[in-house]
Amino acid sequence: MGRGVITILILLSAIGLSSCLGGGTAKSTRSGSGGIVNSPSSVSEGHGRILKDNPIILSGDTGLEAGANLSLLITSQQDFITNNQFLVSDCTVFGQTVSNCIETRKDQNSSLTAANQGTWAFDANSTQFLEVNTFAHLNAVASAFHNQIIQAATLGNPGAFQNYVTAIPSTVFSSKGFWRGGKTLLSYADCGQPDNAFFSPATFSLCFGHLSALPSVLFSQDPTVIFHEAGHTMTDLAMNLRNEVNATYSTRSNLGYLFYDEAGSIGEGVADYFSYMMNSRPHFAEWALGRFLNLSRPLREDDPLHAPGLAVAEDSRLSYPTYLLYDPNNATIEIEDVHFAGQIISHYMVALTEDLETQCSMTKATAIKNVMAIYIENMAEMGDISATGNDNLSGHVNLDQANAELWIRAVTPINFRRWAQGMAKYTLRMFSQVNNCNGGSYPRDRIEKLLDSYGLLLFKNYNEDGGAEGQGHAATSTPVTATNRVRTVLIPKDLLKLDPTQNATKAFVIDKRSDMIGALQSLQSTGQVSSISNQIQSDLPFNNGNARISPGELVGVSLNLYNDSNSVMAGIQVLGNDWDHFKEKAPCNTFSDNFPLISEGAAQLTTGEGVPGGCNYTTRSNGGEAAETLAPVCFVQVATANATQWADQSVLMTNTALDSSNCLSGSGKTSDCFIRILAGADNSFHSLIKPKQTYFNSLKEKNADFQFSLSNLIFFEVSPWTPPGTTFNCRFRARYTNCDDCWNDAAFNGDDYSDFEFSGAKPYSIINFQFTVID
Amino acid sequence: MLKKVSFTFFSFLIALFVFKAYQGLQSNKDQEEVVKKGPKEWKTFHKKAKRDIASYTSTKKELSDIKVDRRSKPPVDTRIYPIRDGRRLSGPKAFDYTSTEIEISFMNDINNDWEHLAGENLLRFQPKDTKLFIKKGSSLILLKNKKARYAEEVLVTYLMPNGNQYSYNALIDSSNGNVMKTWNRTRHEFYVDKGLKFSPF
Repeated sequence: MGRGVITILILLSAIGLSSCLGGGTAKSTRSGSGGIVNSPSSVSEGHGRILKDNPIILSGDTGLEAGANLSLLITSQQDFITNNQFLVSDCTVFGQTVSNCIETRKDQNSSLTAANQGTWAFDANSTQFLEVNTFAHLNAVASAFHNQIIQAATLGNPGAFQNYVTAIPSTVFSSKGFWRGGKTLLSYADCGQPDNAFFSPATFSLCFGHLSALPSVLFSQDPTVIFHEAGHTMTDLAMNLRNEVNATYSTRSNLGYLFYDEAGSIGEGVADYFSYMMNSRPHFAEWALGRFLNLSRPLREDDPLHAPGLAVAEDSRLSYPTYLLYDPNNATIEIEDVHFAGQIISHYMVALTEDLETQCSMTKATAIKNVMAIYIENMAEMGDISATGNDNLSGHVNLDQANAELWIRAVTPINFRRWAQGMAKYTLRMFSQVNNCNGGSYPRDRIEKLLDSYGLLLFKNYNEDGGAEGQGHAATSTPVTATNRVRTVLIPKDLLKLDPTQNATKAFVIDKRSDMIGALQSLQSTGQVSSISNQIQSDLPFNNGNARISPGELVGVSLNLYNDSNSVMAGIQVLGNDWDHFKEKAPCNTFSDNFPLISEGAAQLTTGEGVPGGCNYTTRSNGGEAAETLAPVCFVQVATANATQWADQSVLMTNTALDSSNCLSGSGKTSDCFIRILAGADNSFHSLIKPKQTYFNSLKEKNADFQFSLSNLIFFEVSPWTPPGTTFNCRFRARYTNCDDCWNDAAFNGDDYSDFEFSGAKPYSIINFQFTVID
Repeated sequence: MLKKVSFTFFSFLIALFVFKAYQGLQSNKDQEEVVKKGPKEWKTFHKKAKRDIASYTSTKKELSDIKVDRRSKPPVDTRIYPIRDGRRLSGPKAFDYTSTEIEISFMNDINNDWEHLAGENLLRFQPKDTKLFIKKGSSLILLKNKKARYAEEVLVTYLMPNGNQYSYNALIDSSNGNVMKTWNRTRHEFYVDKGLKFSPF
């Protein structure tokens, strides 16, 4: 009986609810200040109205206030939204349909908004309107992106009869690899996130927040911001096109792994280009970011926001590395930020678009589609965890399947050089070596000169033959014409060193307890680091803030790097991951640092190249061979009968009779028993170093408040069992993007190093950092 | 008069009935909120104090708070995976090892408590009132250099006390709950921990 009444009540309330929806709480009413009446009766079924651009552009008022009446900014023109009952759409690409590929709602707690009397017409100041706005623009980006994949696949014809070596997998459509195998992209138009928006590839969701100081300003009111965030999503898809179709791997690639790195900067620049791709307008985010935060960004050098001196001329472009720290809203300061650095990429992509328009007589729309096809090819290859880069090759990129993720994240990460080389290679394949440029070919010189005008001609060849040991030097590797390199400066690797100034510190050690707890919480919650040794106590009680390394601490270390050249050095990366520099528990001294001496404990195993097990042999599979093992960067000084010698940390463990279970990695690995580099926080990144300066002083020059960020630090775990007074040597490898000899092998006419070489010493400047652990 | 009294009494009865029904509905709803669990594959780990971590099947409300849409169905995965002993093989030449007759050298064992260990590991350094959500995915055998390791694929989501949220996928060592690898990390447009700067002096 009671249940029956409850059922009746539920039914009654359901009727009430549905009459509410149908009755038009969302029904538009003319506002006092006028504007378009966006009511169901004013549009056709399945149609609605959206903001065609952001409120600043639509109003023509650069001082438009928060809370402006958006009804004044829509036009009478209607747009098709969807014939579905809710804001859910299907994607059909090359005959393959992904049902529910995009779905939009207000936030995670809201139900899907139902159509308003069969239409999508809502008051322009309502949340439902923003949902429609978000949904429509996301669908437009997805549709454009899918057309670009079709374009790349059409030009390349992947499979056995490919037109050129294409990275697009032949099963990209049948497997629905173009859209995460058929997942639904969840999008939230007003997700409640203050001062932020985010893309979560793990949950395949997009969240558009609001400004906390002006809650009526929502990111989803600015279509350029929707395009930008969608750009991150599409980049993630492009980078994993090959991984999606591979059943033997569950992981995926990310573009950018640190607070600041060049991969992340590329991601931001490309996301800005997505805005241009959708509206052909070379400026981004005038409303949500520009009007209230002074953070809008131009995409062309003739934008009035730019500092004087920039122009659309070969010698006045926004070039690398000069403009890496450039904030167009305040050119007097310099900030290390992925958004600012990314502007070089967005400007280059716009310039390439315009050059294709001119040279190949393409419409802007066609040129954009082709630039994106080049980009998709490039990302699909670089992000390939199966390490093939193509359906018909093996070991072509990222070393091998077992190590590809490490290569993508840290060892050969996507930086401006690798990205520019890939863009050049696919432009060459798609438009220079075949007649896709209005029946002719796009001149190779133009590829190189345009990149050079942005300081991006950072490579010496197109490296078509890839990085495999077998074929990497055996096939085609078209050389760059050296005379085309005018603005791009390459610097020898040995000019990167520790500050040679007398009494200068070799490294900055951050060990303040509160700093390190904050760092650890961030590193762990964002997934940057994996497991932390159980020898490190959770509240870091040993961290004493004395800027020295002490037993039991977790410390952040930033080497005091110095640029001994007369040019700006950029994209500096210090690697602290295990590498091939030890044999039989003793350090090799066959590298450029000539350290240590035999009398100091160096290994005496010097077999010839080609014979695994010797110091002269570099592992081909990053330690995968029986006779080859990798060693941690840090080793230790131990006392012997007659002298002190450098040795593997397990020797100290034996000498101190420490049970192996007390080692930082446990008994399974004793070579990093006392000092261990935290996996995931094992490499630091530094935007640039000015000539004859240190990194720290370079950044401080125009930003007096400069302090290190997480990406500037390598994190050390220090065992509480470390005897005070013990001296360690950490043999780091460092290199940078605009390096003359960090990427090219002189032994093979300057062809790019094979991928395996990056397990060894040759491509790097070796930097030894010695310290004594004190209590 | 009698009519009037009857009508009043009848109205009162109706009102009482409706009120009781409403109460029952509310109480049922409240109860539902408290006990209604989400899908079994989700587990919540709530750090209440330094050594006090509560773990339970995530509630629907919690999943809603972290933007998990229970309504959308995962796509049908048409890929053919290499399987051994009911676990997905992952790594080079994985399809060559599907038969249990081919020997593999395992470097770890399966501990049925791996998820709890992972929860503790992932919350070890986090502040009080952090909530961690772990969604179980596939169980794997990872192959590398002719050695194998049991692992569990999971989706990790943190809900920080200040409301910030981070998600990523991870591979967890089946023996000790340690995180071996992460990917698909959330990309916030503006760096969330802006204040995280380190003075060298």
